Amino acid sequence: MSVTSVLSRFPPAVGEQPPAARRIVTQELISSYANASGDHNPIHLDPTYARKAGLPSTIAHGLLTLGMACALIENWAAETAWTSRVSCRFSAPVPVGDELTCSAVVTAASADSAQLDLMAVISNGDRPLSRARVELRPL
Amino acid sequence: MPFNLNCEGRSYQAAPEVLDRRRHAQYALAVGAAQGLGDHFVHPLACFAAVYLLWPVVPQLFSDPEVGLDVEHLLHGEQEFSFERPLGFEETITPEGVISRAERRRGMIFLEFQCSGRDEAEEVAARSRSLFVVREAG
Repeated sequence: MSVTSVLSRFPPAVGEQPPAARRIVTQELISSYANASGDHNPIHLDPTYARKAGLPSTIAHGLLTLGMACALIENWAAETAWTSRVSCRFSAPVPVGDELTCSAVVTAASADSAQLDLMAVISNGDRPLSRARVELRPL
Repeated sequence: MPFNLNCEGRSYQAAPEVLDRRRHAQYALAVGAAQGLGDHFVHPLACFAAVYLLWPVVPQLFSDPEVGLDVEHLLHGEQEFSFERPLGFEETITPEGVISRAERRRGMIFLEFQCSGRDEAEEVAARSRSLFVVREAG
């Protein structure tokens, strides 16, 4: 395993990793994503509504978590590759105020494509994404 | 209104969406891909498809009385985006969505929703597959 700041040639090596990213998921961040995406589901924005739904607080959009994790790869590979596929299962909520850490690793690579596994973890060890994968193709 | 298990095949159209660079900049800032609104991107981020492909049609699904989804108990279970080619800014994509699977298992409803986005040449350039799960009351 080796961390490289930028993917400078395609394909990457199996085991190569973009730098991990860590971010506090504030209500301001969730609200910014709601405005940018158009998803104003109150479970993400209204603490009273979220509590009625059985949650301790508002939670991040699943697509915000996935977007943050994918951004890590896309920033790393921007000069050499484009993303042809992204997939995941949303397996745990990300409560407001929690810290989200995202990382990725190249699991397969050929001249035509590369596969990366995405990992995301919050403070209590829960993993909000599972079976999360990204496929890159060379530019 | 109870959920309609016979809703497979129901489809939804939305107006064409321009992959607007300014809107993308706001999105990129929100997901931490950019430090500022002026950051340069060659191609839109993959999950920006939530904005131009998925979200234009999902509200129609959620509010469709012929489907009867209980959105208060709805969870986003899975998501996939795929692309035929790298998309460019200021391209126009026309999204449409279809319910590809609806079933009840173990007191939950599983609804698979597939979207496709056609470019100006009427070719499918982007696809989305979502799995929504609804916990049934009681």
